[in-house]
Amino acid sequence: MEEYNFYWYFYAEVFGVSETLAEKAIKLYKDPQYIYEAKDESYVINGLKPKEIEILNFCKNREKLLKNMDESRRLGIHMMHEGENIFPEFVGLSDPPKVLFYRGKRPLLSPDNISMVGARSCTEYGKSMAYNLALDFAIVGKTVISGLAVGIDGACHKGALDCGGLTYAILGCGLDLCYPFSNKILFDRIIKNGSVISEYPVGVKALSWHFPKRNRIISALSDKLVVVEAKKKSGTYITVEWALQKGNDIYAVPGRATDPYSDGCNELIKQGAGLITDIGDVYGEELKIAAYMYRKTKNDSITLANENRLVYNNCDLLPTDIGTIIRNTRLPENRVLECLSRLEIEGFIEQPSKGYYCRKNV
Amino acid sequence: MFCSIISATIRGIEARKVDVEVDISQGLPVFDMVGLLNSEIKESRERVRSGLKNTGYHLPPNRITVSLTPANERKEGTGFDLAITAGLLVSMGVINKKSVENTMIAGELSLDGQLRKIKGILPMIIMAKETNIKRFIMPYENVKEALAIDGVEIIGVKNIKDFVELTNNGYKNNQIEINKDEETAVKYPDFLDVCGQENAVRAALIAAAGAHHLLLVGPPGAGKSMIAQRIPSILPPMNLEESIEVTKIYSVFGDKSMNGLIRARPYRTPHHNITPQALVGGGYKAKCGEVTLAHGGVLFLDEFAEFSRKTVDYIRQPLENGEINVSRNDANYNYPSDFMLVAATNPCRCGYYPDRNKCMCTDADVKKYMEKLKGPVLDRIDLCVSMYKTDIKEINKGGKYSSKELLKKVVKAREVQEERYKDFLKHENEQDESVNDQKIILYNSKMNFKMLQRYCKLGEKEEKLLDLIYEKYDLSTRGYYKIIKVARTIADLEDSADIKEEHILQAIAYRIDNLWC
Repeated sequence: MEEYNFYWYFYAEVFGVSETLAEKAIKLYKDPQYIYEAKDESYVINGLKPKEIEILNFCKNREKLLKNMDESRRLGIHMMHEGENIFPEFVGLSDPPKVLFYRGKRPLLSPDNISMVGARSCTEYGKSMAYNLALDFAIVGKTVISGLAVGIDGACHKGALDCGGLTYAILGCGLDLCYPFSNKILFDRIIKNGSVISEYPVGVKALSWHFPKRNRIISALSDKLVVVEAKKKSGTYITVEWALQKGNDIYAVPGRATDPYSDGCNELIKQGAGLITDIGDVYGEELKIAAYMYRKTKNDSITLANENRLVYNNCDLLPTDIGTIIRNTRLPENRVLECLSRLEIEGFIEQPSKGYYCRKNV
Repeated sequence: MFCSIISATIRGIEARKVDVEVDISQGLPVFDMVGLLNSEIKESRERVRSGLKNTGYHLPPNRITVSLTPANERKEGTGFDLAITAGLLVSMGVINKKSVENTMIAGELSLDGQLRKIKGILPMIIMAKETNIKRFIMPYENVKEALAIDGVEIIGVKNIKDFVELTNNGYKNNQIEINKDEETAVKYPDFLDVCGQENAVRAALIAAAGAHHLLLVGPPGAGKSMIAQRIPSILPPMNLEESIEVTKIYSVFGDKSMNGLIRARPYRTPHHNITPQALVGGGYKAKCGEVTLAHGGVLFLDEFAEFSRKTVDYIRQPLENGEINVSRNDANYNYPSDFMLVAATNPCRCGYYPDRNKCMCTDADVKKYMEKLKGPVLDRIDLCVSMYKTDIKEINKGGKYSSKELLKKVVKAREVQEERYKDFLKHENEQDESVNDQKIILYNSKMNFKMLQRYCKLGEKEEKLLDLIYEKYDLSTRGYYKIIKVARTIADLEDSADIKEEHILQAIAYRIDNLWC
């Protein structure tokens, strides 16, 4: 069990209540110990408002702090803070994080990191692109960083994990809870095979204004950002702005011109973002071929009987309804059902929604 | 002078015999009615008095007492008017007492002495037959319905004058135009009208063949209601027994459009705002609800997700037992309610998921909407099929299957099942003598564990496949059995004695568990 720095933990607690206050206070006092030990008079002289002083005093509850620290230790949450030599050096951020909590492996700032983001409401195409890109990135040894949200983020983590790659998930809440809870399985897998990271101490809930802040860490941990699928009005744009501020390379996955789910990405490409369809667009042809070869050795065994092959060929990456498949294959409906079920059991296709089939990421 | 006339009241969907006793004695002129009467029977006094006056008979200025026995049971219905009138006429000496002996009389009077149609004639005549009553005098309009039952002489009368004449001349001029066998062909909408959607039509076929319940999922306008509406057309025609049972229900319910015996299987579509009482029966009179009205037919719950969960959960008992028990303060009735449940729902609130060109619901919204369906009722639905937007080519081409073809397949598959489970019942009865109900006909959907083991033997290949499925989809035991049951029905439809791999594979495509993946 490691010892936490008590004063930095206090700083994190304050940060969990009010980010602006914490940043203001650290600018004034430089060291959290001074904030902790300062009296009300000192605060007043430094120009803190009565409400802010109230918050600071509320957070100074020593017993509560110790209790929370015990709880964090119990959960296996590690803490690192500014000034430690293991703390990643964030360059180019106007307000870099001072304290980071993580569960799992210690996150490293490395040129091999790549951030991937996208919208929560997305299409099957978006999910499949995210999954495949992340899978390839992980195959060639890159670390995928994302936000553990539903939709694209989840698919990114899943892709990286599925080939045993390293992945970091940045959360907007305390690490004692998994938000969104529907990604709990992913959450546990990431802890084993990477880490979940947050600026917030245990007990802090996922509140809406935490997420823009969280996005700056996603962009800060790497120097490349891939936007998979985003509408024009999407939280993803906040991450893009952070990344631009920092000077990251931005890549966007193109969508259909008329698709409202991709208009954000297409707009980014128009403005000069890199267009990415496979990992070669970021890391060059060599790694792309490496990933391709690796996958090929795994999936060389696809041999399908005639009818199964016909049905499989009529499945798309986008979910297709049974009616269309029946129509296009010109087979009787019971034969089509049989083939679809068999293909699903054998893992070639999946049903993202009842009665709609699409090809699985092979 | 005292006189007693036989009549009946309705309890639930059964008739109970009631004796109407009339006594005219010396005393102050009053008209008293006793015997735990509902207000519509108390008001009968006024109708009878005016009816008689306007036919030309004046009540004597004496003390008139009418008593309906058994006196401790609550009575309801307007059918006692004619019985009371008859009693009065006998007591007044207008009609011979002998002529109304062993005769059941029921009918509602209007003030001018005409007779009106009453509810519940069919249960009454069934009761009359069972208690060996010779003759039944009823309003003329009810005759057609009553003719379904043989063995009781039916006298239809139009007004009081008619009634007096007929009774006094020994029922000689009883004119009933009987054309009993004018069995009009039952007309249902046809599956030929359904364009495309072969998969859903096939699911309906399987559901009808094995008496499975069915859930349709699809966007608005895909034809969910259309399919549900056409399912009665592929259910085997009702036999006389079933027909009488259904007619009895509608007779008591008082369906105005009813004309003689009901031959068409009922199709009920309650709105999703329905109260529990209206769905399963209730109210202070404990009337029957939609589940009973759907007996022998199809209960279609459109917009299944919009029903209040509490309401829907009430149909668990009828789904399991084929009847519903309704208890109110003075009533406790068992209503038959053996129906096929067809539920329909949109895949999300806007209805278009997963068509991302139209649907803007978030994944969480979709999931939440689907979660709403969960519950004990959904657990009892074996088949689930998803529908989709029909292609324009299919619309122009028209339907692929006609109800006639499908019906043939269903009838054949059901025969196979009846044959198979007949043995089982016989076998069971040898072991357990308390089970002697030969009327129970079992279908694949009603198989219990014992029957599954006996009739759904699997080959080595099939068992391996099922093991794989069980692991891969993380099925519950119930889900596992559901697949076997549906596979059994598919095998029956395809005329195969054993369940083969292909049947199991098809059954998986119809499973309901993957609605919430």
